[in-house]
Amino acid sequence: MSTIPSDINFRMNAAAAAARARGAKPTGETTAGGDVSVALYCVGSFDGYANEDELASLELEEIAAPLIAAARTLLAVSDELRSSDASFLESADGLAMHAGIAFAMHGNFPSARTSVLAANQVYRTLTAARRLAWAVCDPAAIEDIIKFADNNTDEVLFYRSWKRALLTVVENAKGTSEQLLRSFAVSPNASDAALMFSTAVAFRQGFRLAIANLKNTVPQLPSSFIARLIDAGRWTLLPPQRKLLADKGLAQSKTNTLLNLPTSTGKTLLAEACLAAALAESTGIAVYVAPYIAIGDQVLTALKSHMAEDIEVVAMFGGFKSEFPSADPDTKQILVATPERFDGWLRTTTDKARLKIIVLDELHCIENGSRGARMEGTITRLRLLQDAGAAFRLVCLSAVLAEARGLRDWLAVSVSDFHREGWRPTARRLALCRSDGTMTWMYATDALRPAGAQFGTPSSGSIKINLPEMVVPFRGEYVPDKDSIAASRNIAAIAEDLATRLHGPGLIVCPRRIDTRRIAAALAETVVASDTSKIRLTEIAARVELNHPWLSGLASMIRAGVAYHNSTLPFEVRRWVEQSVRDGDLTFVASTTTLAEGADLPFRWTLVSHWLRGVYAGAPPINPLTFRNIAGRSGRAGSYSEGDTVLFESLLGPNGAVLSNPNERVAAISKILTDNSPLNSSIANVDENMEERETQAVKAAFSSQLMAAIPENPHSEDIVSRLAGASYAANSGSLDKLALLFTNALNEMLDSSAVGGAFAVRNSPVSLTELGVAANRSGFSPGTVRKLVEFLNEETLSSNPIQLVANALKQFAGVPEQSNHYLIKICESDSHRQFLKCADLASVVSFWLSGRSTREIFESLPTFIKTKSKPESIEAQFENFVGFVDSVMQSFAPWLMRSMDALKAFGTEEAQSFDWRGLAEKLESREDNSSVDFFE
Amino acid sequence: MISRHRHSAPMFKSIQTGEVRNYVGDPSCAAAYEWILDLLRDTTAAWLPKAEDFNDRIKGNIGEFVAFHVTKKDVGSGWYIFYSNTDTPLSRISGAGLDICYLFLGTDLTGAADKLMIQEIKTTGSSALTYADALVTDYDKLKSVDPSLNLQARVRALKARMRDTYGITDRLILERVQLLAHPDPSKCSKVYFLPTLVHELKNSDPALRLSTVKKKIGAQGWSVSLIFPISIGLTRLNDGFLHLAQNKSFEP
Repeated sequence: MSTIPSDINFRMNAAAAAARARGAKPTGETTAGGDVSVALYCVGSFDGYANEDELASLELEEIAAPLIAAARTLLAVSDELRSSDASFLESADGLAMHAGIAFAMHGNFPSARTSVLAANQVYRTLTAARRLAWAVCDPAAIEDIIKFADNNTDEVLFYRSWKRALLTVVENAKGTSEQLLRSFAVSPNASDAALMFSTAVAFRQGFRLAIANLKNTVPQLPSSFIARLIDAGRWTLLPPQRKLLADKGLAQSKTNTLLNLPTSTGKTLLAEACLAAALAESTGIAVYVAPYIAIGDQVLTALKSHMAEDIEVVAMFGGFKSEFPSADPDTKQILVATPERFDGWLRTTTDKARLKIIVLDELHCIENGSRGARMEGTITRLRLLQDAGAAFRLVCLSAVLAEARGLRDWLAVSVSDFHREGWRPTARRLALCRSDGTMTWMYATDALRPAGAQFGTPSSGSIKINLPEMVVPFRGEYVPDKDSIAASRNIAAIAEDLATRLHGPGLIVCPRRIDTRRIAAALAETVVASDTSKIRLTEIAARVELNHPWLSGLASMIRAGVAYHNSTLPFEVRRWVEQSVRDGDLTFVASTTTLAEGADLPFRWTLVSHWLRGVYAGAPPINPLTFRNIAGRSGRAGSYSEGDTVLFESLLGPNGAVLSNPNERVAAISKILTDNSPLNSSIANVDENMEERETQAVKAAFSSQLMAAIPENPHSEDIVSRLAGASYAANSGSLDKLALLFTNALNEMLDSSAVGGAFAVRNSPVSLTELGVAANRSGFSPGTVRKLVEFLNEETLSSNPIQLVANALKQFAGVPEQSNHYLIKICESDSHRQFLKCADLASVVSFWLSGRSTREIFESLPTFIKTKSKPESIEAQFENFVGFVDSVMQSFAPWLMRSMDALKAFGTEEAQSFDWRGLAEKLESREDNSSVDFFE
Repeated sequence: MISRHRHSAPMFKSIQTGEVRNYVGDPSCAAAYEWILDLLRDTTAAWLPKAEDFNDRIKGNIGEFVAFHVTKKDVGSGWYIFYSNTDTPLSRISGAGLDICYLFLGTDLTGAADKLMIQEIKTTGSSALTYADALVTDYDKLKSVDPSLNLQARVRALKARMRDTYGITDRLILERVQLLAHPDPSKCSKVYFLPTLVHELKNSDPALRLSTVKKKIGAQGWSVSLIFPISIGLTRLNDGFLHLAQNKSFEP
């Protein structure tokens, strides 16, 4: 065991070094040299670790805390020196190498690699000791490192045998390489000698974590899966991955599992292993449910790359749709689906018996409004299917769960199948920037905080950022543009300050789409792209301008190394922006929360530019869970070893109690930062803390789930109690609310006097009528289905598809499943300032079906043609229009048409003869004719 | 390198003057020079061909060589000794590591008797002895952000040398080495400093100069009770070392 005297406060040194690296005054009185001394001492205390138990103990924070603190300290001092004086560069490089080895001893090879690569290549390759340390921290770079070995036979032999040891886990190769490593241990340079002494521990840890070990420890995993992971450059597992796969048998387990692992600890790979093991023995269907398309895309790519060729990986993204490509019963398939698509598939598939495993990513999304209700309902139905004997397994993933007992009970996850891991590869730093520009870092959930420091205790002295504008709550309902623009300048000032202190690309999370554009514009006024990025950014900017001429403003920003990212941007532009972040070219990206929550991009820091969810009267504070999720994503493992999240106390918004009252503001912000409450069912806030429309949407989503549950539980005498009782609501204190909702929904379904008749009959048990079966296929709530049946029975039903879609949109704008406020507004009256009018809907549908680009359709609107608005206002109008297109034209309208198809048998003859499904497919598959591929 | 050197008794005697131990030639400087030359002949065959090649670095290396051989007799037996330049006294290169370390591991397994002595040496032919202040800088580097100078890295380097040169693989022993140097200088109670000045004897006041050095090192946070300055005085040091470097006897 390590021997750290109790009077060595390594936590305080780590905090002090972190503060100084950020240009802030430490709270403890230490010096950089003192911090280095403590850190090197701590590393030295572990450098005799050799056997399995000792190496395993280095994964545990309670034992390895001095080592983790040391690694962070060394890297922080290295950063501090690097930005202070050129004469310290060699020391900075040396400390980065020592930090790398310390991280590797802890099994944190992503941060080990990041650290050694922070050292200048000349320093890193000057001596054999440093090259060997680099090879141990970053084994995938061995072929590059060999080039620097000066034909030193023993050194080259070490690299070859180390590579062989990792890829084959053959003990002989390990023994040979370890012996060779020892032969380099004596160095005249004390730093190199110390480095080599500790490198031996890192070496053993690397061998222990070699992914190739899985061949022996988890024989249920197909060897082709392991081989493909290695081919993809993954040579070592992260400690939680090794523990869960090798020690806990996660992949081959047949029981439901809940994984609560921090971001960047490799949940996706664990899920992949579960999928691979489930399909290893026999044919069947595995499902990965991803709530964000960005995550689904990443998972899809990974699965296609890692799974054996006999496994078909199918993407099921987009809105509600029950169609599914037919599957041969002798095949192995993995469906990567959004919750809506999975729900649709589950309602109609005849393949339920072939289901082997369902991975549910981002489980905490069950808390989020109607989408959460659909997820909760679908998972509850899966649980009931399991209770009825279905043999599939549920694997649920989340990074941000707090108390999980209710979840475990709901999911039937035993204590031993609930895995909560604190191990994380990246240190998470949290700071609050007050409205006057005073910024203070604080301790968060990090286990390394000094004794007595609570969550929220300052970990540094304050720094002051000069904010150029005075922004105060506005005394009116709508905030004027000039206030928003001024607020954007303040955010830009904070972002620039963070970029100077923390380096690396930063993400600025904005409450509204318009803010993303304004903040990016404010930054682009002063920022200049680096020379290394300029050529690539110029190329991207040219591509944007060529394909989307109205985005010339964005193109200019991109040239400066700045971009905004929101749903109004064409899909391909969003992907270009994301790629530029991955390539390290963009310095700042201002986005809405979707990017922050969904994509795994290498941002060094995140600035949450407002603590409220919007800039309108009564806007609620950000959900603490959303904030935790965003905060967990900055500082991606493998790119950075630290991630900072800064919350800004913006005062932008209409004068209201929570915004204007300092005490209420402080309390609300404190809750965002520290609240650790268990997840709620989305039903919990219905009728109380939820807007009316959202309440209706949640109720509709749950009602629809009841309809789906009826045929899935044909023997249930009391489907309401059964479904409600199996829900998460029942496990989190909202059973009565949900049961009442279901009771009302069932009564509505049983009402035979309503249009079209009853959806269900109480034959004890309840069963669906033919109408009910069709309604269930639609995915809509009973109330909305009634309206659909009414629509299909209208005598004036147009035979013109364009007019049909336009009429349907007008009539169904207000149903709870329709979430676009813009459509509601334009259909309610014409006394609004939007460019799109209700009367324009038919021409919009027409242009949409003809393949016109979104911009072209927008510019064809009569209001646009005659407008004299400023470009800024036009772009704001366009953003609303794009939101309408995304939500309504691409998703809601096809959903409506598919539902008409399902229900047409209950309409007029005209309705029955119409090709609704064909129209839905046309709406979905229309091609944007205006886009020209830059490379063509 | 490492040594458990045996040699004839040095032709030096020591006198304690206040806080400083002063070594001077015994019975004379000429005898001391002769003794040093004898030692050099045992150590090297690569003599300096021309007087012009003599420089401060070589002078410093010879000074380290002298300090090592003069001091080690008083250190006693049972010590592991590590040095950087002592076995290459005429080298034009001077290693960046600690000049000389003496490590003692007591028979008491608790490590209560363990200690480490760090001897940094400066050599000057000037009777003003101002170069002694460089010793302060040398010890200050032990708290440096530079991992090649920081005491903790140096202790870990010693562990590596204990294992790979002496073949000591016993974890408990290596851990005792680790425990010798507390990272807080004020709590570093098992590390002794021997700031050593090899200097021109004539018209110099090494006791005064080295007392000041001791105070300054103490001001860095180290315990003054563990600092033992040493002076080694030789008359006409510059000329004497030049002669020695060319394998010539010297009488001052």
